[in-house]
Amino acid sequence: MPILLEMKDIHKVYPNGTAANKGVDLTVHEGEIHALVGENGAGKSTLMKILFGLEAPTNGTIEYKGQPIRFSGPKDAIQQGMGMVHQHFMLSPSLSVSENIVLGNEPKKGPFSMFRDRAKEYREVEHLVATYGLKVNLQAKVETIPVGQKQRVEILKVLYRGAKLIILDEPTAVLTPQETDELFDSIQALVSEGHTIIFITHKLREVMRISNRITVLRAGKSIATLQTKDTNQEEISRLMVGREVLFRVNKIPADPKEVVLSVRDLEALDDKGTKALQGISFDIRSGEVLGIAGVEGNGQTELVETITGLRKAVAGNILYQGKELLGASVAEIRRMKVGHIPEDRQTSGASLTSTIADNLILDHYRNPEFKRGIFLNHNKIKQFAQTMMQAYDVRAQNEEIMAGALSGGNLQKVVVARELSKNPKLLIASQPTRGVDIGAIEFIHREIIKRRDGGAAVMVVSAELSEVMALSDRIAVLYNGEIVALLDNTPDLTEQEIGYYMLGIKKQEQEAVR
Amino acid sequence: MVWQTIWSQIIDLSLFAVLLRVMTPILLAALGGLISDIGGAINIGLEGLMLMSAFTSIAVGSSTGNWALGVLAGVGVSVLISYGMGFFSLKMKVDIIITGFAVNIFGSGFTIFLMSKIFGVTGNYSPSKAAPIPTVNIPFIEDVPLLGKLLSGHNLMVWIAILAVVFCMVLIYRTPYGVHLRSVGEAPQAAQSLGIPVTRIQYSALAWSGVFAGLAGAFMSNGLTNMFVKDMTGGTGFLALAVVLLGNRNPIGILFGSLIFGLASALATIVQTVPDAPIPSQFIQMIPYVVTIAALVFFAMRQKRKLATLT
Repeated sequence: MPILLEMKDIHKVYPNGTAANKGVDLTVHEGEIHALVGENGAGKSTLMKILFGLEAPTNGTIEYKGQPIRFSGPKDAIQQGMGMVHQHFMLSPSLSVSENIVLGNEPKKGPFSMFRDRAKEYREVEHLVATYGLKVNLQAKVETIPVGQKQRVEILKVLYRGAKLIILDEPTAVLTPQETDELFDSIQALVSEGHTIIFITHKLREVMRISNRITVLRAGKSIATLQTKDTNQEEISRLMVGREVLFRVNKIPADPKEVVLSVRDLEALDDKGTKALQGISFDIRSGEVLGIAGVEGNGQTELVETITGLRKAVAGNILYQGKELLGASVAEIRRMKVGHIPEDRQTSGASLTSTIADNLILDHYRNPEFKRGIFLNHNKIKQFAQTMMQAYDVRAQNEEIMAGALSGGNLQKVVVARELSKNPKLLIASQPTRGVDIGAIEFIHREIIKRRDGGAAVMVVSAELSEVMALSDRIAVLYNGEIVALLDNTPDLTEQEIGYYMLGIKKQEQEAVR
Repeated sequence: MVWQTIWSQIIDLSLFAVLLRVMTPILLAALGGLISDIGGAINIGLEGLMLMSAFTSIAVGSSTGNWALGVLAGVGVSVLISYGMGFFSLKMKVDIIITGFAVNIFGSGFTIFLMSKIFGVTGNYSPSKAAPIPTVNIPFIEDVPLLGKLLSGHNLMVWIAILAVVFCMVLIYRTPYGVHLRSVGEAPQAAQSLGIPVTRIQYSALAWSGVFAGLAGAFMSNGLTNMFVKDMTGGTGFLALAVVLLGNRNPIGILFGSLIFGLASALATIVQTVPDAPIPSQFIQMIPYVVTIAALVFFAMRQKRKLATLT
């Protein structure tokens, strides 16, 4: 296959001295699906920004269709037939699907007209939809359509602009297994229509499933380019991380003991006042992990907030070691050794404008250990922070660094360290490894399992089904604010099976769920 | 007594004429606020822009004897200051709310300053040979009993304001510019990723708000009255911002919102002119502001319900 794109020896040093790319080579053949993999901060997004003309490379050359190119902005790249589907959707919620697709290139009534030609717009977009079989409702406002469709709108957007080379940035991060299957079908259809795909991800199973070739980035350098059929997940992850990575979380079978948390008929409202949880009942025992699976927005957030005292319940009971948690304040609940890793470390997990040390003692500062009279004992705090940073492998110069300056993985380790350092009897971990790279995921998973083996009751909520399956001993599936299935995590339980419950296609009998 | 007066004015349609007059500045300013709000650079400085335009247009209008030059000068100054706001908020990254307040304070203070420096008066300036914006008397129709009163004899700016509603509808929904404006306002990164010049569009949105606020201001000094009074806008710019929200951020909604506020003000004016009114005039003057608060509460409740029905 002829070479479509060749990026050679790309270097990028930012004015503040950080080197994001330190010699990256990327060769993409026409008509292939090329996976670009690497941990967070390996330089994937910088590389794509350079390709798109959003950043100028410090050094290196780019050849596209045999011609050396240097784009000054996304408009040039689009004109040359490149298109990018961003990880975070770049859509205007209140505009219609078709308006979003043609945005910036609206058909007009004649070459000198100032007015939009909406009939032509529909015709063109409908033709596109028919050609690629990407079904969407053209008239619907984007804010009303599901995530899977939003992604199709994004793909249609780049196709409308005539993109031949399509870059997909972590496209499956927000999709259910079924939606992922549909996306992969679309990708295959695109390739058979003569398009070339660059697929950025860190989910290696997907890489193995769909790509033809793989380029691995690590610490700003391209480490290797592999034929997918000649390699395997273990090899890729070793190249990505630079050492062996354990895929399965190594854990001994659970040894559940007494019930620690007992939720009965719990009901709660969401922020808009509609019922987000109804009739939720489950138990978690000491020494077991209960995973909560479900498409995001089916009540997970509300469930976690209700248990941790952040949200009021409308009905039901939450008994923790025999004591009612409903009505207790967040501080009271925390004093009862309940640890909570919030789903969003940026807004509720950490204070970005405080130091690492301050973040680490956020839950402990009342502890006499860290006080001297009415004042804080800064020496003790410093000591504690340093110990924690070492134990949890937080990579930063010192404990006085602002938390906001840390990478996602390091910040998450700070949050995990804080919550685990109190030796929780009940640990609520919500999206514990979202946006965290493989090395850190492995570490956080190991710590969670360590707590389970130490006798804590653990609840893990994750949008990442593979994470729920890796950690849990039992799995509850939330759909529309109800637990529709409660499954034992046996080896023959498949993602597909859980996916059916997540989408509400299947539902267990009420007795089984209880 | 009061009710009789109001009733008789409704019957002979003079209430309608007053309503259109007082509605016009609110409507124009609100349309300006709307475009800037849709573009994601909400212009809080409408009040200041209106004052500057009001002063400029009467000063230029009376000294040249040409109302059109006056209006043009007022609008020009208002657009110029809007660009200045753009420079500070879009380029220098000053918070747009702060920039708006600065313009309001500047507009109030600077017009008083100019009034005393140029004309040597404090409080108000009423030129001897004013050149007011003309009223439009439609031949033949003005003699038809009901229709004449409805359509004829209104100030030119009233018609401009109504046409401006249509203009904004077309601009926002029928042109690519309008779609770009909406996307820039709610998803600037999406717009940017498609090569839409976000900053330039926001500059233009501010400029449009300057045009409309300028027209509103010019009408207040050169049409509604024939003088400039310090702080004569009396909160119309803020009323207009409330109308933007009340009108659900679309031109037709804003037209209705302005009518409600216009009605409140018109009633207040009529009641004040009735001799021996049983209600103290201060209470009557509160009507538009009470309506503002009521409208915003109503709007907030509706918004909450809408959110609840979504998803």
